[in-house]
Order: sequence, then C-alpha cells, then structure tokens
Amino acid sequence: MSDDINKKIAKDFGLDNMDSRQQEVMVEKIGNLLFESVIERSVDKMDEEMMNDFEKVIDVAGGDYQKVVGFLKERVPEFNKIVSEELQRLKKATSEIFA
Amino acid sequence: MNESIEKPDQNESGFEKPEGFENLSLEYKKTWQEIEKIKPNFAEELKRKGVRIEVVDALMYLASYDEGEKVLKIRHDANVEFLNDYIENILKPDEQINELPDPGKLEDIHIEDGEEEGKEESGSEPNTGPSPESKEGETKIEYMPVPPPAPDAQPELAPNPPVSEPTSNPESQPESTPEEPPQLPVTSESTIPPLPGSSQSEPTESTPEPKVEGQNLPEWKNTEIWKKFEEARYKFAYNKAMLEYGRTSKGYFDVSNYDFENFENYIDLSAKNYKEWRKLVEEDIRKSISKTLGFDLENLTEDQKKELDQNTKIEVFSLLEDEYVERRKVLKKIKEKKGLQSLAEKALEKSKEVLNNKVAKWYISLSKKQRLALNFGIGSLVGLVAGAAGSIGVTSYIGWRAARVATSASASGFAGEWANKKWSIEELNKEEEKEIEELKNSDLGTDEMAKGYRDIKEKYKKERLKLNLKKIGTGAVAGLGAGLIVGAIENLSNSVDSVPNNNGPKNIIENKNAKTDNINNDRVKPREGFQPDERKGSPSVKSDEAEGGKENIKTKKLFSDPSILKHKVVSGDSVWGVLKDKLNQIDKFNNLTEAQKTFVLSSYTNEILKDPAKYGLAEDGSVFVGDELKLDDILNDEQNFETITKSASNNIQPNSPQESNILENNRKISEWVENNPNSNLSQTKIEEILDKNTDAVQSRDGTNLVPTEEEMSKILSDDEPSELDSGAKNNELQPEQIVPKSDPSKSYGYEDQKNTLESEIEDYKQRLNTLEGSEQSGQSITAIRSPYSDSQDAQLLNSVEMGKNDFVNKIYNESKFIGLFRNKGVNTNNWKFMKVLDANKVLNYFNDPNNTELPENVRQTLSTSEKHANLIKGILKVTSDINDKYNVDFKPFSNGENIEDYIKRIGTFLIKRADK
Repeated sequence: MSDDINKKIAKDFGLDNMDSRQQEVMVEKIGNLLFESVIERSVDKMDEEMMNDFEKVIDVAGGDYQKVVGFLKERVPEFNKIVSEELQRLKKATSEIFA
Repeated sequence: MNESIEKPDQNESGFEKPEGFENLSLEYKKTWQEIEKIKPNFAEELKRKGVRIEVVDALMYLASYDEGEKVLKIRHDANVEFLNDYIENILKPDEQINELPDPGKLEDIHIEDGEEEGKEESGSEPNTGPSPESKEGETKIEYMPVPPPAPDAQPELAPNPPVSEPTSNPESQPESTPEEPPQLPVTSESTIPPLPGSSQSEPTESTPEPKVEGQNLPEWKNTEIWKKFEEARYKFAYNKAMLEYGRTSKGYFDVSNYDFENFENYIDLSAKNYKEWRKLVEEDIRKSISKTLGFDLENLTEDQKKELDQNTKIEVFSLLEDEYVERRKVLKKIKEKKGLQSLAEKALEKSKEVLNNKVAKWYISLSKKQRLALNFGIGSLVGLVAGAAGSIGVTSYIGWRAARVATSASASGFAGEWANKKWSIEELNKEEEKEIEELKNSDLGTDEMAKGYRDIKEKYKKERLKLNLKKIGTGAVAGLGAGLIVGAIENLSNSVDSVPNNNGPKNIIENKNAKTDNINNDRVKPREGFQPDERKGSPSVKSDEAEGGKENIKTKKLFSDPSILKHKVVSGDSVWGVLKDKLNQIDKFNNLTEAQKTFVLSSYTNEILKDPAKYGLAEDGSVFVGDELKLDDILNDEQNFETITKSASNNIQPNSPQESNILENNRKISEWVENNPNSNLSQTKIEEILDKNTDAVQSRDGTNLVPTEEEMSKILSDDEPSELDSGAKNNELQPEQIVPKSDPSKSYGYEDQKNTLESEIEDYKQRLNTLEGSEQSGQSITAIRSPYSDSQDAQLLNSVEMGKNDFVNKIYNESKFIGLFRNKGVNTNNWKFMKVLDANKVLNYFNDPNNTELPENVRQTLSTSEKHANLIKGILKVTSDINDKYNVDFKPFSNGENIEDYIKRIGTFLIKRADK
C-alpha cells in the first residue's frame, strides 16, 4: 500500500490527526473489522453449494487473496452492497470516535 | 415459573469442582460457594443436560451459556441471585416466534406486574440481572420486539438482559436456550436505568467503584457506568439485529404489516442511549489514561492533550470492536432462537459458523500487508479511496489508480499478472490505450486527469524501454545511478513487513503468492545496474555465450562448498543482499571499497536479470518468500569474479567522481529512510530524493559512461527491423533522426551534405506521410525504421542489410567450445557496442587518437579491442576505395550518423553503383 493510499484511508476514517504509526495500527484494525463483518454477511447469504465452493477456494488460496475476493464478487449476491453498508457503518462509527 | 427470588438453597448443588480446587484463590472459592447455592432443581436440570460450569475472570456479562459446548461460564463476581435467574432463563423452553405482533394490536402486549416492580428497583440501583419474575398465572410475555408504539407515544427502551419469563412448569421444560432476548415493553416506564441527564438518571459524574473481583480489568470497566453501557450496547445490538432479521429473513417473521419506520425510530433511541452511555465511558477512559500517564487533567499541555486524546481514542475504538462482537453474538442467538425450524437449517447454520472460522484462520495467515491490500481492495469496490459508487468519490488520480488495481478493472490491475506476464510491445500499447480510455471516462477533475495521463505515459514508456533493452541485451535500464536506486529499494526500503536488519537498512520482499495491488512501478526488483563495457577483463564476457548455450567449461571454483550458493528466500531477503552475503565470504570482495562492492554487485545482478528464471527468480526478476535462488553458475566462477573485481577496481577509483556519486546517493537515501521510517521507498521516491535523471552516469572525465536516455531512444530506433513492432511508432521519430537516403550522384563535401540532407529530409517527410497512410490501411510500417523505406527500395534494403551483416559477422563472429557453437557477429555485444557510436568521432579517433571527442571508456575499449580496430580498418579501406574510384569524399555525416547507418550507406552506394 503506498503512502498516498494509506493517507487517503486515514483521512476517510478520520484518523488524519494521529501520528503515522498509530494511523497504521488503526487502519489495520479497521480493515480487520471490515473484513469480519463482510465475510459474515456474505457467508450468511450462501447456500450449501456456494459454501462448499467457497471453502475450496479458501483451502487453495494461500496468499492469493485476490482469488477469494474474486469469488465473493462473483458469487455472493449484492456483495458490493454488503461491502458498502459495512463500510458506511464503520466510517460512521470511527468518525464519531476520531473526529 | 412464577417464583419470586428466594433465598438460596443451603444444600450443595453437587457440581463438579475443577481440579486443584483447594489451591484456587479465595476469590474462586467464594464464587464456587455461590454456585453451590444454586437452586437444587436448577442444578439437577443442568446436570441432567450435561452442562459443565466454569468460573472465569474475563466475561462481558456475569454469565454466559454456550449451548453447543454445554458450558456455563460464570464470572467470578456473580452472586447466587443472579445465577438462579440466569439459569432459569436458559432452562426455559425455546419460543418459536414466527411473526411480529400486529402493530394494530399493541394492547395485547403489556408488562407483567412483576416487571413493574423490577422497574422501580432498577431505577435506583444497578441492575446486574434480570428483572424480577412475574406472578404466576400472568400472561406470558412474548420473546419478540415490541412493535413500535403509536407515533405520539414515547418509545421505550429494551429492558435489561436477560429477562425472566413465567413458565407453567419448570420441571418439564424442554432443552434450554441461551440468553433470552430482552422484552420491549410498551408502557412508559422502563425497567432499565433511564437515560443520563433525565430526572431519574444516575449522577453524571463518574464515580468509579472499583470492584475487587475485576482482577485484570481496567479501572473504567469496574464502574456502574460501564455496566449500564454494556446493557445499553446489548439492547442496541439486539434491536438492530431484530430489525435486520425482520427485514431480511422471510420465514422468520411475517413482515407484511410491520411498521419498520417506527421501529427504526425506536432503534434510534436505543442507539442514542447507547451513545450517551458510551460518552460517559469515554470520559472514564480518559481519566484513567491520564492517571496512568501522570497527567494533570486540569493543566494539560498541548502535547499532553494530543497524547491523551490519541490514547483515549484508541481505547475507545476497542469498544467499537466489542460492539461488533456483541452484534455477532446477538445475531447468532436470534438465529438460534427464531425460525430455525429444521435440523437441516440448524446444520446449515453450524456449517456457516465452521466456514467463518476457517476464513478467519486463513485471514490471520496472511501477512499484514496482504490483509491491508485485501481489505481496502474490497473497500475500493464501493468507493473507499476511489470510485464513484461509494459515499466518498475519488478525487485524486492516486486513488483512482489504486481502485483500478484493486478492482482489476483491466488486466494490468492485477499486479501479479502484469509483472509475470511476458508482454509484447503491442500488448503494452493496447494496455496503455485502455488505461488512458478509462482515465478519460473517470470522474476525475482536469488536473488530476492530466496527472494521470502523464503517469500512464511515463509508466508505459519505461516498460517499452525495458522490453526493448531486454531484447537487445544491454540489460541496463540506466546507468549506475539508477542501479543504485533500484538497489536502494531493495536494501533500504521500509515496509511494515520488513525484517529489521541490524546492519542498517531494511530489506523487503514479497510473499510468493502475493499478488499485490501496487502498480508495476512500485514493485521491488533486484538492482539493475551498470552494464560494464566491453573491454578486456569486462565482467559480462560470459553473456556472449548466451546465444550458443552455456558451455560447461571447467573453471576454477570460488567457493569450496557450492551448496551454500543455493539460497532459500525468507522474509527480508533481497537478491542484492543475498549476493552480498555470499560474496562477503571472499576476502577479495571484502577488501573492496563500498563503491567498488556496489559495482561488483551491480554487475552480477545485471547478469542475473538477463535470465532471471535461470537463477530461480520470477520472469520479471522479482523474488518471493520460498524461492530457491541458484547462484552457483554465476557466483562460483573464479575467473569471472576476478574479471569483475578488477573492473571494479579500475572503474571506481578511490576518491574519484564515480565513487563520490555512488556514496552520495547512498547517503541521501539512507537519510531519507531514517527520517521516514514508516514510508515506502519506491523507485519513484528514490528518483525524487536523488532529484536527477539517473540515466546518465559520469565517467572519470565527466562524460556519460553509459548511453543517456536520448541515446537509448536512438538505440531503440536502431533496432533490427525484425524486432520492431508497429507500436514503436509512438516513439515519434522525427524526420531529422532518420538518415536520408544518399544520392551517389552528388559530391560529399560538407556543404553538399548539408544541402543534400535538407532536401532529402523534405523528401522523407513525404515518404512518412505515405507510410502513415499505409499503416492506417493495415500495411506494415516497420520499414519506417530504415532510411530506405520506399517500397521500391525493398530489395535494395534487403541487400544492404545482408551486406552489412556479412561485413559485421566477418569481423565479430565468435566461436566457442572448439568451434561447435557460433555466435553471429551481429548478435554480439561487441557489435552492439560499436554500432551506436558516432561514426564520425570513431573514425576521427582512429585517425588521430590524441584529438578525439569520444569518452574515455569508449576510447579504452576501442584501443584495446582488435575486432573493433579491424572493423574500422575495413570501413576506412572501403571508403578509401570508393573515394578513389568515384572521385568522391565519402565520409560519415557530422550530425551523429552512427556506425551501423554509415556501413549501410556505404553498402547502398556500392550496390547502386554495382547495378550500373
């Protein structure tokens, strides 16, 4: 992740008043929360077959996270909407804390 | 069960105590004493179900029951009153709720008298448990959210979790369920402590009452405010979950008549309540941290304030994380409680849980960088950092670019695909056009778009340059300066994943399977360095054998144990670093100066880059964790090593300008790295730091040691026709750069040449127009590269080319391995070095070595190479013959005509004359 992207993310989440080291820590935490919530909601939408396929993708993905994202984008209905909602929620919550 | 709270039974519950009970702390023993006072019937029921009891320190609530594991966890500060109520709830039958109450029938749902009593009590003291039980025989309270009240009614808040419920026969209860969701009474009185600030609210001043039982909990988690905050959070999470499931879970609820809007208002109040309590908790956190840091809250300095604010916010953020955990737990409970009618559905839910855990494990296995790229790649789908779909649209080109990469808008979006693919010029051009098109269609402003356009053009220009250079085998993207840059990226770059290197700069490396989202320009590759020139003892002599295949000639070995030249890449490694580590074992290398070592490493890296795969690298020269580098071929040749080190000693003298240049660059980069520990050191950044065009490296006398970019463009334009693609037309040849066709009927004095040139440039412009027209109609324009692009001269072109090749091959052919392998002269580095030189200057040098404009290194090469001398002699002989025979003054143009073109022009002259 380049400096510029990190800065943009920090700004989006209201972290720009923090020093860069703590920004990094917070960006990581925010990312973790986003991931957890998106995955949970995505899995919730899956039927058995999709879950089996997803599990296979996870088994072989290794460090190739693009595969995982690609699967979710392609197969989970309204995946973008899920991401959008969770992102909004996170942004709102973090902005309230850090603004 | 309609019992009021009774005094705990004095008989032992009979639960199995943990091992080593006698050695437990007094605290734990006290808790077990409470456990043993649980009502006998409850205890019996729990034992019948096979429920195990554990006493724990850290738990969000006083108790938590895991139905799957059959474990009841009890916090050490729980008392028996609470325990009895809690256990009563978990032993209750599962309520099957299939529809929300009819909003028109609110009067059917009301609070039990018992609950009202509970409300009074809870208004004055903290409520750590459920409200008192209702009276026996009273109307059962449904486990569902109370429908929104009439618009003018004051919405109420959920009562304390968990809530007791009357049952008819506790002993015949079916399998218990976990924590009951709270009820939402419609009456105006709440069972929970009212909002802070209201008449019944708790004092707003925080009055921490540290409870001894909170052993490992921070101070602010031992207060009443914290408890109320937890309750408010639970309620809010529950309400939200109910709404979500009401909306989305058909079959769970019949939502046809449900008034979600009002329920949302209800949730808003619940959210407001939660936030109000959170503010109080934040104040407590702030005070606690201030105390820990030794600050005086009344007299904070600016720095102290900033530090305190920062630390407080980070701590408060952990509350948000807890909120997520809470929501998940509540969702799970609701799913378990409601609508899961069949075993198949339950099994599916269980599978989902297992899958979630698996995904979590996989996620943790990723590196921090990968997780960041993954998460914000996902986020960019909907506008985080880029895009127009999300709430924050992209305003910067950087953001747009990141989103492109993250969302793989084009094939080049996948950095891994980009880097590992073998691009052709045509493919690169297509990708460039595609990116530009996408940029045009983006929502960026004009300035950002202009920035983006420049960035794209620059990126593809570099890629084409690299591609062409690889084709012609120079291997040098630029001179020694750029080699330092790329080497610096390897050695000095900071990364969150870098392994600290106590010897100084940190190394970075990419994970083998990581397809990062960085665009190609930010990828780290082995150091591309100086291409040593062709002189005796030149370091890159070995590469001449590449065409014929590497012979297995016996050479003296530099390392006694060749196995150490295999290296498995670990995090923090770099090719440069590995090479250095190995060579550090050789005394002769160690005795070199820093700059000379740089030269040596540069030479080796250059060699590796000519065929990365051979040495265990990726096609583009990158390395990944887990790769096995095979350096035996390149490092274990003593003769080669001697040659390179000698060259280093000769080229980089102590206190020379070259040495100063190298050391100064290193210093600048080190300084920047020290001052920016958390920033990435990309190639672009390095160039910025050094603030120069590093394509040119100065030789001892200040002239360029390797071709400048301008010369490099010339190199590209002088490629063999067969190697060129039509896309190269983007290099925008100017007619002046094209050597005009000579007219043998004219004399070749200077003025005549000048006039000839001018008129032929005009002529050529006409030809250019014609050819462009041909290109649009699909005809090949590779001939534009040649001065003889007139279609009528095609045969002449071929003849000239063949003639030139013959002439060059005779001089420069090389044979190896007892003549079994032959390397054609036109493919050798010797020719490639010679052909781009200014013909005029070269010939003048041979005529008068003391009066030359050639750079020192070129002079040295020419003066020490028999082959070069033979070529020049040959040229001079031919031109002398021409001049004699045709009474002309045939010589190179003074505008920079290179050797190759000069030879071709000679050939053309002769062929045309031969026809007559």
